[in-house]
Amino acid sequence: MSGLSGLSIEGRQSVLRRYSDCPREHLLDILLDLQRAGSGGHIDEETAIWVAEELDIAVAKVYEALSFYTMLHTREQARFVFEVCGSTPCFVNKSQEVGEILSRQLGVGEEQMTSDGLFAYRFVPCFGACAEGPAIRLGDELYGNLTEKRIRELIMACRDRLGEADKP
Amino acid sequence: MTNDGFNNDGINKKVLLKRIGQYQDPGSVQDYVRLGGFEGLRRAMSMERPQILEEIDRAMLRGRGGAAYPAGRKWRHLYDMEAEPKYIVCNGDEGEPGTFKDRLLLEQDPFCVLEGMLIAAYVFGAKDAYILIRGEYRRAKDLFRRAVANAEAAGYAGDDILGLPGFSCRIHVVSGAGSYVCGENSALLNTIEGKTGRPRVKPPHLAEFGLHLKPTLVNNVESFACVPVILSLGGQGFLELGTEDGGGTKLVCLSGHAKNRGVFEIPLGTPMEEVLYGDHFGGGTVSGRPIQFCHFGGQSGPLGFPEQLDGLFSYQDMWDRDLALGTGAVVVMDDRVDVVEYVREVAVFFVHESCGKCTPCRLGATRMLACLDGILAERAAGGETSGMVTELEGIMRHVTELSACGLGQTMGAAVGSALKYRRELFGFAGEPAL
Repeated sequence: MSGLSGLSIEGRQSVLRRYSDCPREHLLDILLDLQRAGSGGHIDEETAIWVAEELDIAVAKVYEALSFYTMLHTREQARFVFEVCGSTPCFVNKSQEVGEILSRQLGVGEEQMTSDGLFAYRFVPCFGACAEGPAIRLGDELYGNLTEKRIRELIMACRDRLGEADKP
Repeated sequence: MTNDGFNNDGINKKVLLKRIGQYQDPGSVQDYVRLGGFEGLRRAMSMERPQILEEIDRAMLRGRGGAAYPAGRKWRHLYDMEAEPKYIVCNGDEGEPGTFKDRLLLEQDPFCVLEGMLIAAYVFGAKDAYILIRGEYRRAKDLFRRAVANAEAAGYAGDDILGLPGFSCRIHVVSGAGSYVCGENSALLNTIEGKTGRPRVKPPHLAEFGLHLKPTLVNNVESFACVPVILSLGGQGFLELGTEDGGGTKLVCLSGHAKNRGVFEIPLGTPMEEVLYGDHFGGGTVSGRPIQFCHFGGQSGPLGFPEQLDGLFSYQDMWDRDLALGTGAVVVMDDRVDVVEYVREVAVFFVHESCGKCTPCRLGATRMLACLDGILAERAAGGETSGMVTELEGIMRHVTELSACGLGQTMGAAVGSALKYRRELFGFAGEPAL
């Protein structure tokens, strides 16, 4: 889908309305919510320009945020992105192996998308699931104490979810 | 879904986590009141403001975000400022790896944090209070927003709080979006102002020029959660839970190879051995192998080796042993972890998280990592590493002394402690440079 991250005007406006009291203070909230509601898991150029206009700030300021914060993306993302904690509490619990398993199961390297656009994985800094490392973040959900079997099940669960969503 | 890592066992003096697990709905203000909530706020509202400051002072509450600065001193500094308005800011950008205690409070007892913020708003007459919650904690953010709305509807926030005319405070919940350095207090304020979250040059102190350049109090989530406890127990009662140099209990996050991983509430002054090996706390290692070292207080904290671990879990005792309590993170490592590989991973983290604004940090982080890679390669080949270790120490000195903010200044802490206590592991590294 091209332009405006696949969001209707109404969809975008409803995000802005959540922060209407002081929208500039909520630039990150707005960008995160738009990215979440959109189709590609990213903020495209048109959306970035639209946000700049609505908040009456320079476009470069929006891009400064987009490039500075690791949760914001300017390129289209896979439908399911496995974010593997790479910080030391998970590292000593073999998070590198989680990356290797994902690479093997998905047939792609880190930050690459599968050819069907469904999956990708990347290492990210700690997200506070240290009590269950090695851990993965998938959207807003955390999954810990990962094993190869559990990772395989997770991937299958994603495919199932997709199947459910496509049903009439 | 995963559990929250909260461990409820073996805690004899729970004051911070006493309500966790007791809620039917942690966003329900009625539940909070039923569980004894807002007693601290009511107590505060019956007191003169200087009296409240005295209680905070007496409690010897040290900042729980990692810096350990006495909250009483910070509060007094702000109290003495004449400029208006004053702002209250809660730092919920918990990003120190190995730290997940604020997440527990925010997800399971948000009102205790809110109550601490409201007590501060009462003391300073602040009309606006902010909490910035890291973007990764979406559940916490959504819950906190709901908690604020419920508190306003029930008269515990918003206008004329608890019927007291003029005591009005709006609570704003702002999101981060993935940046470690935003946890630095001035970077946090920049983020709330809609700027990119890079630290400011200090001084001036934030109590003088903080949010929108107005006097501002910035405290950590756990610090605010301690405030109602102080009001309920009295400063002296809170102090007596801990030690003279730091009162209260501390939320400790055990992770890595600890047998029992999770958040534990531990009275300051508990023997370190009990924290690490006690059945009710860490329980030793999951493998049953010896603890080789621990990493304290987050990535910016030092490593601790067994010969340093015979003291108390308290601020001063840990400083005396070259350790630091920091955020309360304790990552435990058994004897199968390569210390040099470990500190290399710490360096990777700082390369990723350096904001790039000041050169010593931006370049220093990259060069520290390159040095550690060189040392690892040379050590594997059985070669001589002393030249590279000397270079590493030189870079660390520059980064530590010249970086503009705490991120760069503490980046070398883990490597430095590894070099000081386990130099031989870096290969044939020669004598320490003086």
